[in-house]
Amino acid sequence: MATLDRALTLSPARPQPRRRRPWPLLGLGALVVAIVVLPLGYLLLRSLEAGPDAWAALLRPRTITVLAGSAALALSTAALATLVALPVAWLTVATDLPLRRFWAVVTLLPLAIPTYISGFAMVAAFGPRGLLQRLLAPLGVERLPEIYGFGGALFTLTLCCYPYVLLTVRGALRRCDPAMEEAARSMGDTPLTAFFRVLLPQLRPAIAVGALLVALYSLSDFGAVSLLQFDSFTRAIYMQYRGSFDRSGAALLALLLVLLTLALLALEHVLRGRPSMSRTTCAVPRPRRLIALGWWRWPATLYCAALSILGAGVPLGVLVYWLVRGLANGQELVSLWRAAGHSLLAAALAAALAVASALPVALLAVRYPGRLSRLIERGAYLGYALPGIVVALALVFFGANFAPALYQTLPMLLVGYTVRFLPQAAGSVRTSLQQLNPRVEEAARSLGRGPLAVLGTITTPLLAPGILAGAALVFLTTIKELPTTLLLSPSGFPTLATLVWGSAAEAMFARAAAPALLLLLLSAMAMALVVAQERTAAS
Amino acid sequence: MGVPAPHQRPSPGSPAATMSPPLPGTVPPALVLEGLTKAYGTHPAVVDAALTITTGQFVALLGPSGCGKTTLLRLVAGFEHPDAGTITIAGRTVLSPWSPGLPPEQRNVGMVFQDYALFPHLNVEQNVAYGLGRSPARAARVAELLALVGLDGMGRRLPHQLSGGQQQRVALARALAPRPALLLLDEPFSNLDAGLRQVVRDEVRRILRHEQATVLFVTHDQEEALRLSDLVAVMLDGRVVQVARPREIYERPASRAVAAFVGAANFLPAVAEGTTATCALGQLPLARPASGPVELLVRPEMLELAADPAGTHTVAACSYTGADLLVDLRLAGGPLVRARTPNWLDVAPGDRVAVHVRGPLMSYPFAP
Repeated sequence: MATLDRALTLSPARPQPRRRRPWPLLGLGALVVAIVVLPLGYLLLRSLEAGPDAWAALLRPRTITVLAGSAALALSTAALATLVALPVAWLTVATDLPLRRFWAVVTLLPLAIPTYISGFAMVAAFGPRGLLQRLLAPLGVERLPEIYGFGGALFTLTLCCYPYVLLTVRGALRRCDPAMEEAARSMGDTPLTAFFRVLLPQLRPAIAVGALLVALYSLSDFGAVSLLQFDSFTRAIYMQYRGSFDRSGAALLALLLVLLTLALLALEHVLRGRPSMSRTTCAVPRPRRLIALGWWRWPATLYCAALSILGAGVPLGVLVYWLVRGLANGQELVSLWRAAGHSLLAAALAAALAVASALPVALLAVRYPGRLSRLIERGAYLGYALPGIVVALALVFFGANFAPALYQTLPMLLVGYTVRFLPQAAGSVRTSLQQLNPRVEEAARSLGRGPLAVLGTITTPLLAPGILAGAALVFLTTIKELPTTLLLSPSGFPTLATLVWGSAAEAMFARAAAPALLLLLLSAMAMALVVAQERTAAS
Repeated sequence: MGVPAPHQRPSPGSPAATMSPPLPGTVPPALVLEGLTKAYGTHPAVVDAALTITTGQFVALLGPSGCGKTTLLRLVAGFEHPDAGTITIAGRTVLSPWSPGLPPEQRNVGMVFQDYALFPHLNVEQNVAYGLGRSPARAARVAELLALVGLDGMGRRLPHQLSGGQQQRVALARALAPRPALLLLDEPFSNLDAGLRQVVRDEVRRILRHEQATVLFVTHDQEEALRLSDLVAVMLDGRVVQVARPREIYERPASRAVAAFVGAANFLPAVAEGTTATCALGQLPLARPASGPVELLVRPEMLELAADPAGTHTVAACSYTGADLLVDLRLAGGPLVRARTPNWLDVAPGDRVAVHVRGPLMSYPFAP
């Protein structure tokens, strides 16, 4: 009886107190949302002003073909990445795969590699007169399968993006109660049939989220598709923006891309299914007993190795090859350090800004739930769903018209990054805030400290790991980001990303290799922080 | 110490405690609640609650899970805002219908949370010192409290390096450090296992007496409430239905509902006439005069049994609990009652027994 009582007292079913939101917090949250929403609203207005030519261009068969091609690429990449990632997630969490922890980290490495570097590495390795063809030439191989176009873009993007599915599914797999599978096994399932009948249905929400991330990422990708000469919609927008005086035409195209993004979000909502499935089964589970792979561990290891080599090994190998060749031929490294400094500065400032903006949003969402808080949170997450090129265009238009003083300055670039990557910081801060017992803050209040003092002495120090992880994530994605950087960078402010892009787009691989390697080094360091945080959160 | 509590016998639905303004020159009560009301949406959590706690008293707020007792505590602490009512702490009105209410940090109320809520990034000393500000006496006060709770030498440990009982003592020391006018304890012993709980209870009582703290503590454990407190406030369905000393609560419950919640109870239908009532156990004296159909409160230990082949009542079932024997009796008139007798009584189902009822009985109007 007493234990039942206790269970009832501690159950989360107790009505959640609705607390009055402090207005400074509300004001900060509203400010953040305004910065995110205003440029996009302006983009919408601007596109309505588009001339008849732009509208006609919109309905041209060519526009429709490009749009359909982009959608097809996004969906195929999502599907293929899921197929590639699922076995790795299961192998590294649930089985006795040799070097399990090693593969768990190595298979995530492509996260640190920007798509334009992967794209250029694929061209350099598998393209006409690429490394592979030169290796195979003595054997009489004249032609390799075509790397340019849809196939090459799908191949490259899948290798870049599958870690997103891997991360979400692995997290869900860790939270799932192994007792479920044991129950299935006791009823006659083999490990494999138990995986398909019991585990996979539980993982569906995580798979849907991971696949959505991949689809959004490929839809908004600009670097890889351009280098692989696939006619993507982002490329079309960029051409329209650079190539014509009627910029509202580009705005109109950007809006069409936003619509496609919304369609993807709706699709994910349908595919995700009932969220209750994941919640009921994911209490605090016992540690799982690993499934013995037996003879299968050799093909399983081979699979992980092949994936890691294609996803991380090939880009790294190609870069090192071209760096050595370039240095041997007297390639200069002059502007490298200046660009690296710019990259570091911009990414560090963007990480700080994103985390600072994320704090009020997450505080409102977790500590003061309600309709207004939800609205603010949704608004802040808008940048998540929008391709970088759309956000960048919106800020270009907005800046040119309303804030000419800020146009093409570092602050404007930082706002662009923040709008894009705020959701990553907010998600990270939000998760750690949810794990922070509100009673701890109340205890501090009852000991005589005001709200601000409690925020400073209790909440912030306890959130520090989450804040750091969020900042590392934003730093990582910012330093890799291409379209926002290309469109919003102040003139005379080269970064590693623009340096790599400028050289790779002209197929000057030797010149691109050094900045690309430096970029990989920096993003790998940021990624190590993110992975370490995932580890501590999981344990 | 402690001023003797006035005998209060409110009926459910009317304010429980009567309030008298403090006389000049006397210490104002540590806490006065009047008409306190709070609802979550359409679900009323606290309804028209009234309570007065004299400085130095140790008061238990006793009620079943979900009766609103934790909400009442959080209203007093200032973590939640009531829909109506007045809260006065040590003579200072911290909340009234015409004021927005003081924030928690200005109420001078300490709180020990059910899950302790220690600051995980601060060590034991820093936790205890948190509420002390920058006074020069700070270090001395921390040392004094750590000695009092028996944790001297552990000041540099972090909360996760302590056992559950030690964590609770840190939470207690932390809440006591600023010498609050009132200390609130939310189910303070529920996270401890049964063996430890006995020891910790007595220990906590000792510490709180030493600090001369005024305490309001929430519990759903009747024995805990009766054993530890000077005064028990029983809360049912959001209402404070009786405030009295432990003996009064157990032996003279204000209503049938209180009687049923606090301890085990048999309710025997009877007809009252003045100071006696007639029921299946014969004619019995009443604690208070009544008339008409009533239910009598018969606690199991009030029934004295003796094996008697000529007895009018039959043993229906027995269960042995160690010290006691629980005997279910089929009375002559038909009703079934439970008796608690010492374990030396040797009876088996089917045996006939004679029954003697101890003491005058409480009666409650019969409500079909």
